[in-house]
Formats: sequence, structure tokens, C-alpha cells
Amino acid sequence: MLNRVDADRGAFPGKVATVFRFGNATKKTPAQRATSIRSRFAGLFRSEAGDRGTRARLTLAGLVLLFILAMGLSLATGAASASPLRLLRALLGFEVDPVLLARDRLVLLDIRLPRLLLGALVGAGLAVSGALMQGLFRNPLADPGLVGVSSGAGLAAVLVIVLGGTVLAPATMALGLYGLQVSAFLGGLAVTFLLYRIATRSGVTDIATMLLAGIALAAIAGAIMGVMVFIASDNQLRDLSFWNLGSLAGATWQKVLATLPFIALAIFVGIRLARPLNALTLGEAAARHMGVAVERTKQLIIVSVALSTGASVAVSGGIGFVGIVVPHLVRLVIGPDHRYLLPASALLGASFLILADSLARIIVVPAELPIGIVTAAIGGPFFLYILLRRRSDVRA
Amino acid sequence: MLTARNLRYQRGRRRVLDSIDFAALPGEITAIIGPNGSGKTTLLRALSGDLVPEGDVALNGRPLAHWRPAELAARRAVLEQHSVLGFPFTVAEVVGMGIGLGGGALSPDECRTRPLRALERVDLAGFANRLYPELSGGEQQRVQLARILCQVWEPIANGEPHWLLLDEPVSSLDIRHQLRVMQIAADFAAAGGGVVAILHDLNLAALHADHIVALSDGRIAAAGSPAEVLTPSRVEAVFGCALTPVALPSGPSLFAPQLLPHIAS
Repeated sequence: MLNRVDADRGAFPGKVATVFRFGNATKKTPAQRATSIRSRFAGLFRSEAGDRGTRARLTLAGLVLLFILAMGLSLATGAASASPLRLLRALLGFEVDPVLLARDRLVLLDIRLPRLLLGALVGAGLAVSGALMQGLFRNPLADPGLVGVSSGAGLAAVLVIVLGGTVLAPATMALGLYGLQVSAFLGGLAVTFLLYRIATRSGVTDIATMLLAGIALAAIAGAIMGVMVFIASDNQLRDLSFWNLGSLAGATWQKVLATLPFIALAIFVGIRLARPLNALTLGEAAARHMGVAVERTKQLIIVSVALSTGASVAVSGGIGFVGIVVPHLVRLVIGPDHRYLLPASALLGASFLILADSLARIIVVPAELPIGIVTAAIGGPFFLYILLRRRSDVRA
Repeated sequence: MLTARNLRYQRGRRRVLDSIDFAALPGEITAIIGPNGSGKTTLLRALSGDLVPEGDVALNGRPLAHWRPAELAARRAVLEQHSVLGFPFTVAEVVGMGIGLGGGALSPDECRTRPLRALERVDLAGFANRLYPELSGGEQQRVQLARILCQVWEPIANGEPHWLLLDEPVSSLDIRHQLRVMQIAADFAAAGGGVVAILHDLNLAALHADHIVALSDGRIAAAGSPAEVLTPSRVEAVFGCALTPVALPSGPSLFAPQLLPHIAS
């Protein structure tokens, strides 16, 4: 409805300017308007009693939607033109050109779909292992990539690539399809365990020690990796450099199946540990007082971090920063409650990596950028932003 | 009953606890007093199972090691001297963690309202939505108290007493909230629960405690009722300073510090 109001009387003494305005008769500054909009929607996002559960459930639903959209977008983009719609129409029984359909089937089902699923698994795995590690160390800056867990997993993978045919042959034969994943898991496990032993004294983790120990462990892993590169054959060198670039290229159904059990198990165990993780944020003693079996919980977290980081690194090399960016964004929206943080991080991590991979594929068509470059380009500045923000906080 | 027999604990070369025999009864507030470094916190940590000394500790007649963590958590809660929080939870979320793990048998309604009632008891009604790291030290201490009250809400269940172990529960509180917290402890004891609290304020101990244990150099220097333990000579022997007892018209006598010559001049 239209209101007739007198405005700016002071600006035009003696003259009355009459203007027509919609809605409220009183004028609002942009800041006031934002506040009123926020308070109008506050009921949606915040139920009374400091419970952010409603907002968290809404966010989870939104993330499921984002995940579906990301998958659709990823299926539809790429160097070769292929139409997911045509495939869908054929599946529903409509007539389509058989030649084009055969091509679509090849591109979509054998190339893009496994790559999409591998990206989703790796993204979810990295994000959840980041969130778990941050919960374990009670610090939002802990990340498997930063503190050397990925290096340990990577070293183990390199050892298998270079020595798998000779010294380690019996082991790789026995593990078959899972050789790379299992060894990367063991490498990640060793580093996570060492890190925790070095950085934690009587239940208190010293973050400076943790980060520095991570640098030292990564340096040691790098030195041994250097030796492996030195003795590798030409063929192995090629494998190594492709692996090291951090890419989802070369995804196959076989790789998806080899990765799935590791990451699914880690996510499942992680989500089951949500309440003990919440209690652990009050310190180990307080968690024990509340009935948490602290040692067992810590062991399960360490194994889960190693499982998902190891499996991710084994198939995709050095994709960094997902584990730090994704949980942090989720915490900003729904708070640190692990019951929601872990599933939301899994969903956002999967979507983030799928979208980053789509970007990597279309940005320099027909070639493609290693996805590690994309995530580092987004994650590096974001990490600095977190550091600067924490510096200005009094007690974060 | 919360009992300890012949506790000994060594940290490095130093004997922190030496031949401690301790018993706290349900229905009472047992205060542990003593100078800095006399072993108060170590004793409380031994009673809560955080460290395992030589000797025996038993809660309600059963050795601590024989309780499963969740069973123990349902029967005794511990307020630590210093609390940390890794992430910015809201006050309601922190308090809710108290019922988080043993909440299986509680109705959803109880799970939602109990943290609010606990906050009301510690005079923090209306703080539910605030972020914990943004509170003052005293407010944080009261939030932690509300959390442990949520954990052992009933002072007694099935005839079995529940316990509150409090390490300096009033250290950062103003006088009004010191009295409020001591009243919560007194109510808990009056209803049949047991309270063991480390206190620095001898007058607060004199006013509220039913039983006082005075520690000195890891040994028990005195134990008994306030009137028995808080005598000028005992206090001087334990704390190494002279205090003047001031008799109240009714009730116990309190202590006022004597002016020392170098301060007076």
C-alpha cells in the first residue's frame, strides 16, 4: 500500500516535500533493515534455549540439495560433449540415437561417473578426517595435510609404487586391489599416532609442538620419498609424478570400489563418536568424568583419520586444504556440535571436491588442471584468513 | 560413602600424598582445606579416578576401578579447577553435554528442559544462547557447575547417593554467587547426596561444611567437625599464619586476619 509521508522537512525549511513510499512509513537505514530481516528469519534458524539443532538440520537438508546439484553439474561438464539427459531418456524407454547413446554411455558411465564418485568419496573423507582431527586436538587448525599425516600416507604409497614389484612384492601380492590403500592407511596411522604421542602430555595437546612435529615428520617422509624417486625406474617415475599431482584423472570403478570401504567405515565410525568428541572439547579429564572411554575414543579417532586420509591420498595424491576449509565453514554456520558437524562436513566436502574437479576440467579445456592446484588456490588464502581472524579474537 | 585408604602418590621425587585415610559421608559437605601445594587437588583427582595412587578408593562401597566409565558418570560428577573449551559452543550446548552421554533413559522433554533449569539454579537464566568463550571467568565457572548438575541431577537414586566433587567451586565468583553455589551444595547434601569440595575460604568452610579435612604436605593434619578443625592453633600450624577468631552471636566462630607489623607500619 502507498503511504504519504513528509520527508526532509529540515532540509527544505518552509517547503514540504511530499513523497510516496511503499510499506512502512518510517525510514530505515540499511543496517536497520538487515536487522529486521534477520530477526524475521531468526525463528527459522534458532529455536529457543541455545539449541542450534534446527538450524543444523535445515543446513544438512540444504547440503544434500547442493550435493545433488554438484553431481548433476559434474556429469554434464567436461571436454567431450555428452548428455546425461539423453541417457536418462533412454533409461526411461524413449527412442534415442543409438550411436550417440553408446558414446554417452561410455563417457558418462565409464569416465565421468566413477570420477564423480571418487571425488565425492575423497572430498567427504578428507573433510571428515579434518573435522575428526580438529576434534581430537581440540583445535580448528589441525589438518591431516598440514601436520604430516598425508605425507606419511603418501610415503607409504610411494614405497608401494617403487618397491611393490621387488622388495615389497609379497605384501602387495597379498593385498591385491587394496595394496595402495592399505599401505597408505598404515603410513597415515603411523604418523597420526606419532604426532599424538609427541604433542600430547597428560591430556593436553601443545599445538606448536604438533605443527612443528608435523613439519619434521613431513620432512623425514620427503627425504625417504626423494630416495625412492632416485632409485625409481622411468615407468615408476611417470606413475609417481601423476600420482603426486593430486588428480582425480584416471578414476575407474575399480578405484572407487577399493576406496569406498575405507572412507565409508571412517565416516561411520566418526559419526558414531560425535557425542564423545563433543565431551572431549572440554578436555580429556572432563570427558572421562562424563563417562567417555577416553583412550578407546582417541584410538578410534586416530584409526578413522588414518583410514580416510590414507585411502584419499592413495587414489588422489596431494589434495590439500579440504580438511581445514570445509569443517571451518560448517562450524561458522551451525556451530561445533559434532553430531551435525561430521555429516555436514562429509556432504560439503564431497560437493566441494566435485565442483573443484569440474572447475579443473573446464578451466583449461581440453587439458585439465590438477585438482590439487584448485583446492590449494582456494584453501591457502582461506587458511590465512582463519589465522588472522583468530589473532584478533581474544580467546578463540 | 566415598572412602580412601592409605593413599600414597609420588610425582617425581616428591611425595604428593602420604598415608591418606579419607571418608566422606552422603548427606554432608566435606571440605578439603590446606595451603597451596598441600595435595588437595591431587587427593580430589585420586577420588575422581583421574590418577591411580597406591591404596584403595571406593565409591558407594565399590572400588573405583570396578565401575564402568558410564556407571561412574551417572553417580558422580566432577567440577575441575580450570576448564578448557576447544570450540565456541553455546552455553546451552555445554550444559547439555552433562546429559549427553547418559541421556538414554531420559525423555526428550527432560533432555531439553533440564539444562535450562540447571542454568536457573546457578543464576544464569537467559544465558542459554550466549557463546561460552564470550562469558567472564565466573560465569564460565557457573556454566560448568550447571553442566555437572545436569550429569547427576538427582542427589540420590534407588537408595544410592550421588556425588559432587568440586575443586575450588567458588574461586572466581563474587560473594553473592559464592553463597549461591554453597547453597546448591548444601541442598544437594540435604537431599541425601554427597559433596566433597576444595575450599580456600576458611569462613565459607566454617559456615557450610559438615566435615573438614585439613591437608599439609600431603598428609592429613586434622579432620573432624569445623569446630574441631578450625581452632586458631590448628589453623596456624597448617597455614603458618596467625588468625584472630571472631565469635558470631550465633553459630561458628569465624577468622579475621591479624594485621602483620610490616603491613601496619
